[in-house]
Amino acid sequence: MSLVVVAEALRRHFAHLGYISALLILIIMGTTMAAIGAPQTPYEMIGLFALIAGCQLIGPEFSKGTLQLILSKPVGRSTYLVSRVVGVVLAIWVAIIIMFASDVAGRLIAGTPIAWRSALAAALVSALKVLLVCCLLAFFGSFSRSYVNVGIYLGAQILLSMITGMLGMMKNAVSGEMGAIGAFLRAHPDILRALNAITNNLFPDGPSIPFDRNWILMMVCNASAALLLACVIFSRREVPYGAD
Amino acid sequence: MPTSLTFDRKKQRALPVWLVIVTLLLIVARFVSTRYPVTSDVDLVHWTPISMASAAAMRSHRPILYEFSADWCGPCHILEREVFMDTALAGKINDRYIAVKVVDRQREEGSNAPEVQQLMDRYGIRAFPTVVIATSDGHVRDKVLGYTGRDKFAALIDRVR
Repeated sequence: MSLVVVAEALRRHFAHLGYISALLILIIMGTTMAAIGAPQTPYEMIGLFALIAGCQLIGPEFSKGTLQLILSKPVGRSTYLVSRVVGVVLAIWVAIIIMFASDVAGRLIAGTPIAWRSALAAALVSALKVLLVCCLLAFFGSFSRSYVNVGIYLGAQILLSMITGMLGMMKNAVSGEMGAIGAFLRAHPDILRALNAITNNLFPDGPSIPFDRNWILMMVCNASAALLLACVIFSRREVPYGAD
Repeated sequence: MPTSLTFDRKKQRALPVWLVIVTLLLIVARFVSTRYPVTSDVDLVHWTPISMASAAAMRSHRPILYEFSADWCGPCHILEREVFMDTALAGKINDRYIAVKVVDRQREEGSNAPEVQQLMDRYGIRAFPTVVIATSDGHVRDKVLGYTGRDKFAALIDRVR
């Protein structure tokens, strides 16, 4: 890992007006919602934050042509990519820590009891989701470019849930044109099971049990696999001279 | 020119060995870990099966607390983490209610078990999570749609003492 690339990724975020504004919004939202006793839903905002920050994981240097310059130094492509992901993930984790502090502060202001276990569990779920989202964006970005990776991510999420929902409905059909499809799906339940497994692995919800060991392992494992695939593809990709 | 400054394409494109090892170890760990699901030690609410709920409520003179949820429902998981896994709240639920968890499987399996669908139709469940507090003969005493936070849920539980 290259600490210079990590530090540069962090510096870019911390010095970015958008990042600072997002942090302020998160602080206001976190404190207010905790003060009125709302559940830890502001953490859902972190997912959006991760998508916005992650869309440029590979992009800026690639599109502006500066990647060629960076790679002319003794920095391996995978090292560069892993360091970029680490930098972006760390920048968003800082936001999660601030979010957690706002949540606690809001509850202290309102005098409501703080459920530490569930508050820590919500922060951990959010941190792991960010890790997976960033690694997936790095993977989608490794064969596309900035912003397109987010398009692929959102497109895949929508498409998978639509297909799963439609097949779930078709499974019940017993007559007409859909009847044959329904019978086929009933005879092969593994099709729906496999689709659900893919959806749950790529776009998982939070666990129903706090600090669920299996869920944590799934998130870290999938993130690691996505990052490894991203490195494999990115290391073989042609890097154009100048802006593309 | 010193060799350290030359462009070494092969070295530059090498994969980080540590990432390959870590990924393989994680895959093995995940495979082993899924054989030991984490459930029993943290499920603090004593859930009663749907078929036994009415009789249990009648015997103990306690209302039934139905939690309608689905595996894909994020807020349901927050409700479960913040309320049903909380020692104090779970204790109150166990003392004052007959708790019944009703999980919708429409999306995953295309249909629900008849007893689940019957309950969902009876209480007009259209979204998750929905919590219904009903008497032993099925009359609705309270119905809360969505999860609005631990404190509000604690107040709902406290309505029955």
